[in-house]
Amino acid sequence: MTDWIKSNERRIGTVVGDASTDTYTFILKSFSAKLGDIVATPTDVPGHAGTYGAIIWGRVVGINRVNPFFPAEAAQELSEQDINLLDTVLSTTRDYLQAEVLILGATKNMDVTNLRLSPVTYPVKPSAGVFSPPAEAIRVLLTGGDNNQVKLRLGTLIGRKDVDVSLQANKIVSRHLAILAMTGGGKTVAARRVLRELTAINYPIVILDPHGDYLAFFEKRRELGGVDVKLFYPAIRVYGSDSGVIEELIAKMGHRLTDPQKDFFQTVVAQTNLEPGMTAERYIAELITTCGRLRDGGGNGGDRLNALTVNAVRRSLDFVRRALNSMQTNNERLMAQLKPKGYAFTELPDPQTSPDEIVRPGRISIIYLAGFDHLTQSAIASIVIEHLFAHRAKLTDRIAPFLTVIEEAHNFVPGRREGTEDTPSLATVRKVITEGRKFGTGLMLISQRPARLDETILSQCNSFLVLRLVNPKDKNFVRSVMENLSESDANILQTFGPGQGIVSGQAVRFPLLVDIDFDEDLVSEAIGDEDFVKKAKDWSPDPVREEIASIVDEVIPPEPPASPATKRAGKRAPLPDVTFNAGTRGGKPNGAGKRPRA
Amino acid sequence: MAFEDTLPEEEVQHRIETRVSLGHFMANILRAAGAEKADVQQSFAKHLCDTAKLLDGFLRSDGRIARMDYLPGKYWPAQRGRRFAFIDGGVANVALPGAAPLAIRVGAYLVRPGREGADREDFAVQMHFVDDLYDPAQDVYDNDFEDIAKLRDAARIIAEAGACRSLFEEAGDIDALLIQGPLINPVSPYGTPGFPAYTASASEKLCRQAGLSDRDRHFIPLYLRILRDLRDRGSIVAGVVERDGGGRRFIKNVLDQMVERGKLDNARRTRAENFLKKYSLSDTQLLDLILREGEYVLPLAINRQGGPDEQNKWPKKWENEIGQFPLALTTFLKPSENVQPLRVETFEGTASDDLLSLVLHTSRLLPRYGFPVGLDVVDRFAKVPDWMGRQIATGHKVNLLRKAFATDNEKVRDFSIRMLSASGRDWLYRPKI
Ligand SMILES: Nc1ncnc2c1ncn2[C@@H]1O[C@H](COP(=O)(O)OP(=O)(O)OP(=O)(O)O)[C@@H](O)[C@H]1O
Ligand SMILES: [Mg+2]
Repeated sequence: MTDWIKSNERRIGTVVGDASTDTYTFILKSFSAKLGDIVATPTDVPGHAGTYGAIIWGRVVGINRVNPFFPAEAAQELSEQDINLLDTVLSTTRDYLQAEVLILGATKNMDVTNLRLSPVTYPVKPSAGVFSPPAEAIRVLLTGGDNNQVKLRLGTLIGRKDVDVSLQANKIVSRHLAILAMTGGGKTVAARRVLRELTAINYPIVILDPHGDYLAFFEKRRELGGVDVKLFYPAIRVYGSDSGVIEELIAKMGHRLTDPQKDFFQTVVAQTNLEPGMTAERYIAELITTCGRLRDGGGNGGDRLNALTVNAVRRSLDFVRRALNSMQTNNERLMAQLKPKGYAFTELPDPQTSPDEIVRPGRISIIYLAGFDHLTQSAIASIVIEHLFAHRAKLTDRIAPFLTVIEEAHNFVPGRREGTEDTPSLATVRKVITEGRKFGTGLMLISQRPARLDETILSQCNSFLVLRLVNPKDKNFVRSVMENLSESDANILQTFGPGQGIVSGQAVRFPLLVDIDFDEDLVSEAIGDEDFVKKAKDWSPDPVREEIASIVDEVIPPEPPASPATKRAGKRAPLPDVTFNAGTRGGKPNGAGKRPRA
Repeated sequence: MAFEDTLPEEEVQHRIETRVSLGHFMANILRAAGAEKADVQQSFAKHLCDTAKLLDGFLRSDGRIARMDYLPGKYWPAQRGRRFAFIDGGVANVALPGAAPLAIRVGAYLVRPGREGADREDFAVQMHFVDDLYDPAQDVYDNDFEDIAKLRDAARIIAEAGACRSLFEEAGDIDALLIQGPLINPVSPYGTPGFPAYTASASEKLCRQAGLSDRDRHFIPLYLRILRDLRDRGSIVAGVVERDGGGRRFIKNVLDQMVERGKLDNARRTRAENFLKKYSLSDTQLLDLILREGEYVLPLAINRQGGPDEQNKWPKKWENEIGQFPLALTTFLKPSENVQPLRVETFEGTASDDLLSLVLHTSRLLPRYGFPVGLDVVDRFAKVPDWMGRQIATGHKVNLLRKAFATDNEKVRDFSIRMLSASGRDWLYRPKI
């Protein structure tokens, strides 16, 4: 079983230079190993009873091609004089490949059924052979020969389709996973992969989905083995305990209030009756009513209220109400577009009183947040997560342990540098991520801008899946947060193709380069990437509207622009939008369609 | 080969200016500055001009300067199917406490221009020696000697010559071989009393001959044997020297020959020689002033062991052998305008346009460095890499430690540990309180 460590066919190079217990370098035979490959080299290690044979395992983290015999000067002369390299005495064959290996650990030679990695206490020997282990050996190594753990299959080793890479389920669902990559790197595909594996073991999943990336789970629920996929739209409702969040949301969304205005706002809140479960919109309407009541002397505050203060607060509340309203409308419009494609949304149940409708084994709950702005999305997330977490933290078993997926995590847990530390979900997530492992409330954080994430939250993730990253800021940040990412690993991040990455942390035995499986059967047929090029090409102006405009222009010719003389006469110049909108003002869009065409 | 016309004065002046701006004559000027009162730089420049005029006149009117054309587009295709070899030795630079390691390897690079595939190039370590020169039980020398540097030099010189010899013996089809450095080295420095002989095994490795007497295994006779072997085989081999070692042996020989052939009278020769002596300018520096790109001086046989006036300095014990060393047929070739001429040495009777053309064309592949690229390649190959040096050091320390632990003497052990673990300022070396 360990014969391969001596076999010439598997020998891919020779150790050279200085070797330590962390790294070594070897001269690689051409075409016999690639970046990311797992390699092994035999060595003798001193033990209590003489030396014993061990295998040192490592991962190729760099390959350099060196042709020390070809001076640049010569290259220039060749091209200038138009001479064929082969006709000269220059050497063409002596380039060699130098591979750098990061040591993963050592195993005892004999012990092949249970390849447990132990720390390397003795360096490899220069001149020792380096070997490419057979798939079976790597497989045993990757799993530690331990087959009792529940595994989530992620993909295969890069360049070795014959070696599977899996994550330990238990470490993901309670110890958190961060998936980081630039846009298009394959984050969503990777997340879908992991979630699919989790649904196969009926693990409850809650997804905060700002773009509808996961809606396809609903369409493909049959492919997922008949999983119960629920699509929820958020109704922002106020219950006693979250009124604080709503007040914060109102305060942040609305106009900036002066101190007296803030005081007045507090009074208004105090004087408004809150029915648990009312929508935020209705609650705000109530607040506005309270404003009026207080202004008209209905309040028993005693102080004479400044009418300006009252109006400012009212205007701000009104603004928030309209903003919320328009966001809800957006959300509804987006859902309406999906309806003909068979998507059915229901309102998100109250996470406080009906958490088990959201979290349940065998169920994926997708909370569709499209249409809302970041602040509101964050407030919604905060409320949902807070309540669900509270149920777990009370240890009442009202709900099962569950995993929350946060896409676009940088909007929910922004770093301090972003100047948005009062984002409502920040504190909630911080709490969940530090205590989650006690209560079984794991998080999967997904982001394309890691550098914008809160550092302490990210560093609480015990496993990382990092795919293609190019931005130096992001790479540096990721390096600073992930303890065991070597410099050479950080350097290859930018070379990854879609779906290729490094997985490291507690979910794997050591960092691995992985080619993630692409579940093509989970790609939605109904929702595709929008083809804006085609849309722009196909767009044409509404003929009816054009017609009406021309009629209006004919009947009421547009006024010529005001001359400077009129201005000087002290008259206000007409507002520009008056002339601008002249064409449309006369027409009523709703009735216009009924007009017979000319 | 065509003889060239006398240099116009402007050309010489221009060349001097560039050389001065490159700092070539710095040392000469500084040397003169102490002795002379007048404006040194001024008179130096004038002197250079005059010298160039003098030498150029001598050499060109005597038809001693010829030119080699650089025509790479014609030259290289014409070499198809030939086989060239390049040899160079590398010495590991290792400093070790209490040891004098000797680590030499001589690399060979063989190449067939115009060929494709696996048999185009061969790289080989043609000769190598690893030893500790302090160790009484040595593999290379049969005894120790106080001047370690000399032992190393001698070993490198003889190993390179031995490698040339064995390469010709092994690969029969070599059209020309270039070696980095002189083809024939002065040997007197290694004839000092007490300079040890090579061991039987080392000698056999070097000249492929067993059973040599103690005397014959000494550097001087052994080196002589190897060089003669090489020469007698008719090997086309040239030593190419890039470093200006100083001295005017070549020009002196030119003047001698001119006198001999009645081209110059003795009185003028002395005047000329004194004039040339003034700023201690070397052969390379002087010829650099007058040679144009591709030009070379007609080769001249030079005794590298010294002229008749130097023979009294030969060690008595080896006089006979030293007198038998082959002469070095020497020329200076300037590969390109801004590169100092290379000294090229061959055996008498083997110098040819062909060999010089190879030197020129391979040097031009490194236009700025101006040195045969094949020698550059083999230099990189033979160079003992740094990491190997370090490894020799580590291996050696371990060996020493092992030996120390094998003794019963506790003090020896203690001392060894202290020595080996000490870095420059180590607490171990501080006096005990
Ligand atoms: N494992 C994979 N195998 C093959 N192709 C993949 C893989 N992962 C991603 N891709 C390709 O890359 C595309 C983008 O992937 P994905 O949507 O997961 O990227 P993303 O990182 O989520 O991007 P965004 O930041 O825009 O959401 C996919 O549509 C697919 O074509
Ligand atoms: Mg995505």
